[in-house]
Amino acid sequence: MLCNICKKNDATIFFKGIFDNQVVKINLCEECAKKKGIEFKPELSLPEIIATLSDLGLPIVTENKKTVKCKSCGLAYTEFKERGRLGCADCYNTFESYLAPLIERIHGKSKHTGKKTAPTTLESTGYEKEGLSQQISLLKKQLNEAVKSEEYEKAAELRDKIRELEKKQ
Amino acid sequence: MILGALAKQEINWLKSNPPAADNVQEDGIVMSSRVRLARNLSNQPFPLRADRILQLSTMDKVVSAVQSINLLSNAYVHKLNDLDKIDRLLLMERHLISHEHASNINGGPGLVFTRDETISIMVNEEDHLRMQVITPGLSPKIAWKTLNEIDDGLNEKLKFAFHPRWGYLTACPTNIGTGMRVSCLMHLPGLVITNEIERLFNGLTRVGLTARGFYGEGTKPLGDIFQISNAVTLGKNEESIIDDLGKVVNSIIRYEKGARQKLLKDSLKEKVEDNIYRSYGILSFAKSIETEEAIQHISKLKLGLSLKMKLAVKLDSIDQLIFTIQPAHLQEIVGRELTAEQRDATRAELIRKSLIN
Repeated sequence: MLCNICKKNDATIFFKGIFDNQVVKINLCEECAKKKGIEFKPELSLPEIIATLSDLGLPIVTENKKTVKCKSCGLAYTEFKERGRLGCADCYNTFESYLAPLIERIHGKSKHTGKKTAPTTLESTGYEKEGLSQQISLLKKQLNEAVKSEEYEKAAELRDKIRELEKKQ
Repeated sequence: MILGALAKQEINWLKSNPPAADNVQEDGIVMSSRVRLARNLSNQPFPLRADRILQLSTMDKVVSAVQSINLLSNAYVHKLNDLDKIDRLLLMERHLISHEHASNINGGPGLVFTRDETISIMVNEEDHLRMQVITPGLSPKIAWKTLNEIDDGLNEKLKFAFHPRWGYLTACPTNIGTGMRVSCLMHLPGLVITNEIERLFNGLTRVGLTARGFYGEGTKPLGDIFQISNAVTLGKNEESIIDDLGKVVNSIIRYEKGARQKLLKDSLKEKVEDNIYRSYGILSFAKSIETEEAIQHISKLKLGLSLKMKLAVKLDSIDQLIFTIQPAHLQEIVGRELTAEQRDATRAELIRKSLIN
């Protein structure tokens, strides 16, 4: 990948950020970066985190909340915002990253600890696998959210958790 | 109008002295306990996003599952669209369905309820199933035991939407997790008269509880009767939700008793007694009375009884009266539709008669 500025050298420094609800990617070579006055601090710096995030191959894309629709029932997130009601069980997956903080705000908790549905019926609901991969994808979503909201320390924590879980896979 | 017989039947869950382990002597303060569970069928949209045909098919599935449950073997099944407005209103007045369910005329709202009205299941309300058990006095544990059994039974036949992290999934995220709402219908005139009720409500919010009106969420309190219920449904198991509510309800009972003691003190006693006797007078002689006014006065009589005042009424019949004087009840009892004026006159007559008896 070539540097966005000189368009000659290979870019080694990558930036991704959210500006005006759009993902902006900037790829720079070391030389041009220095010219632009970008310095690296030894500790956790923003570009470093972002670079490691992109190492994980995470799709850092801004989904526009207005256009996200549930594949199963067609409910748009904006409709949920208006009526306060979801359309189907799958909406909880579709809008998971938006709902998670809301749910935590409502209940002060984020994990069900009560009665569970009968195991025989679980098989066909599609929610039965609370396995590693599910946990990982959940963490990745949270990671995305953390990056979007510029909570980089939280993002770093999540990144470490993801790596840990991925080793177990 | 086909539910006249139901309107004439006494409400079982108001009858005092339940054989309840967790029941305490509460001077009619806790009128009843209710536990409800919200459940949805997996792999199909929630009722608000399902057309009438899909809703009717949900109803068929529920009705067929209900038939395998002993506790529901004698239950009535109604498609609410087959009932007229007054019948549906009657069901709401008896706390068998919500206000929303009574006014849903486009979808396929359904209801299953046992003859003693203890157990009921709303089908296609906001969630596919809203099942409840109501028991007399402070007895949410007993209600939960029955409801848990019914939930297990239905779950053998129906697949419920369930998420490993968020538990039972519901149309509104405020109900996810256990999908459980526990409430006690409480008569709190002492706290209202002593102006302590607001403080109580503020306190409730802090411990994850809330106060709702006479007919539940979004309705206003009548006759100083409130539904105290849990607000949080996720992150606590069913037993702790019930235990926590029970503890708070017991404290509220103590506060209410304390407030009633204050009413008996000299400075207030005469005023309070005068107030209650005036209510007694109005109820004994009025020729026309509106529902809200009637319930306010009946509530005063209920307070008077607990203060050991001499009033020729019984606590049991007073509680029943609060329900039977509601508009749909009156019309079902007389067997025809009445204008507002006719209802007010009929109501006054019914109250006069019940006070004489």
